[in-house]
Amino acid sequence: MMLLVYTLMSAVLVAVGIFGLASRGNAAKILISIELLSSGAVGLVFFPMLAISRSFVFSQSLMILFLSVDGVTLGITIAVLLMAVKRSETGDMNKLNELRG
Amino acid sequence: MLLDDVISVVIFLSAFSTGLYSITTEKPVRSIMAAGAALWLVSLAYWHLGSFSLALMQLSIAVGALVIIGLSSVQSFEEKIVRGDVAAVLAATLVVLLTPWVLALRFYEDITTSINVNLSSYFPVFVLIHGLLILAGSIVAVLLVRGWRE
Repeated sequence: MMLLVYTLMSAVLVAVGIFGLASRGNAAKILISIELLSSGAVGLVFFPMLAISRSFVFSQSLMILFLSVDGVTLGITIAVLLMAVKRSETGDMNKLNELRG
Repeated sequence: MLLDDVISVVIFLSAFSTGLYSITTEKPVRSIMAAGAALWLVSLAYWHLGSFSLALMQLSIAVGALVIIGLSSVQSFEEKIVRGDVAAVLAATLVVLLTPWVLALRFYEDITTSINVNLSSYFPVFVLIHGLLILAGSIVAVLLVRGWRE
């Protein structure tokens, strides 16, 4: 029951993250959405894996790797978005159209 | 229904509501605080399942990322920070910083048993130092971003 509920929680966080990415244009909201999405995704892998494999050490080690990669990715994303905000002088990501076409 | 199941349902509902609120609200500080709460709840879920290391890593990423996102977005969008916001951020930082320390202090034996490693009795102090280092690193990163922008 516990693992099922936590798997649902992770799925909901992924859904909220995707909703935020799809519907918001603000740079800070996009970063928050990415953070929620990645945390939900890690949980969505960890909790079912724990239920299926029953190997706590293996699941935990793999998730530590995923979380580390997640942290690095987030750092790079923050740097890119801050650079984009600085160049465009607006927080609205919908106005960035340099990659259009 | 067991107590553990009730706790997991409460954590699920709280994470869902705070996560959704953080995306839908228009107030920047509330949005970041709510996202922090959602990530803190995910960390509590890991703790509830007995994975202290995952809980700590989740908290580290949450604190580091949200402090940087919060302060740099305030700097980028020229938002005014009022006194209540500062108090709320301070309270949240203290909660995130002190929770792992208190839990490590309280559940030291359980952690040692679950990971099957004989940890030093200074382990809770190291956890606290770890949190302080993350906080210091985040503040330095924000100051660098500010300096870079100016």
